[in-house]
Amino acid sequence: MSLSDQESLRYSRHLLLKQIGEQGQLKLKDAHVLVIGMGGLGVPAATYLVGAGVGHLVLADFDEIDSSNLQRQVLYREQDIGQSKVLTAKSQLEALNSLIQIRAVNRRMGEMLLGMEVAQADVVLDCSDNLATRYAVNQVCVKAGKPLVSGAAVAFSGQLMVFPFDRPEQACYHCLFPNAQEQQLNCANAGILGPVVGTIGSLQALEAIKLICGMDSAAQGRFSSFDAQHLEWMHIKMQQDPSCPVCGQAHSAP
Amino acid sequence: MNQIEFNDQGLSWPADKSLAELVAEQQSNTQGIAVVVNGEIVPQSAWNERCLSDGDKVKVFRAIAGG
Ligand SMILES: [Zn+2]
Repeated sequence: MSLSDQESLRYSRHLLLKQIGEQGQLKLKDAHVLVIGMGGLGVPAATYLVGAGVGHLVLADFDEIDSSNLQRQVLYREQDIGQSKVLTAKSQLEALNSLIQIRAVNRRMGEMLLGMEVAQADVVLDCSDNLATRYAVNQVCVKAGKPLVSGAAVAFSGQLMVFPFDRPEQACYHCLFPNAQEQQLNCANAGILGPVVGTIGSLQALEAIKLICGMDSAAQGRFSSFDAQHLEWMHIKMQQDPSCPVCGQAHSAP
Repeated sequence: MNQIEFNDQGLSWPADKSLAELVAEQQSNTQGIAVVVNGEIVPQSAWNERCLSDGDKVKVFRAIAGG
């Protein structure tokens, strides 16, 4: 397999990078990525993945575009207000790159559908806006052994977690935050600044590209906390909790 | 009494009291937090057995869900 002339031109800036090159570009072309949530995180993440030539992208959300989304979800236009996020994003992103395949899942995913979508993915991006989804996505990815790149943002704070579940003995989201309750603080009541959530979403795309191309990254297995007001990062290695009900037994089972 | 740091603030803390007690005393809501001691996460299941030494730096991170 090799790149077409059209692809070689289009992705020429990747081909100049020795960490990507033609082999990496072919891996991107072959990759299946599932993006869960097409809000402030999912929009930049999916846009960069489409630009990068990820061959198969699935966008999942059940929300409609609201005028208050436009301040940060920069893929959507005024005329799109009231329209489905994933269907609008699909058509915008298809206009950006017609060489790839984009599928929209315009509904709330139950455990079974989520399991089926994760099974088809090489990398999963959690760009959701609630803890119930985060726990559900984490559990399915642990079970399926699929790498998960999780992002979150509110106000001036961002969090990035990269879980390489395709490798043994990885901490999971439940190990990190075992008993989080649905937050009092969310983007709707605590506010969010576009570039803060855009930073985290862009980094989710970056880490997904590294996972697909087989590049090492210090972010893998790490929890990173971003203080956008003081422009400070804290990076902490995650620890698997041996008593974690989600990943503790999954990996010790024969 | 040991001198420790909790979320960048100096604090005197008895050597025989656990990390679980520190967190309970300092955080009104202990749900959805990750506790980091000297740059390493201490899983919640180990908070009870963990005591703190002079100079330990404890930091609490709270899960955020927005996106
Ligand atoms: Zn776990």
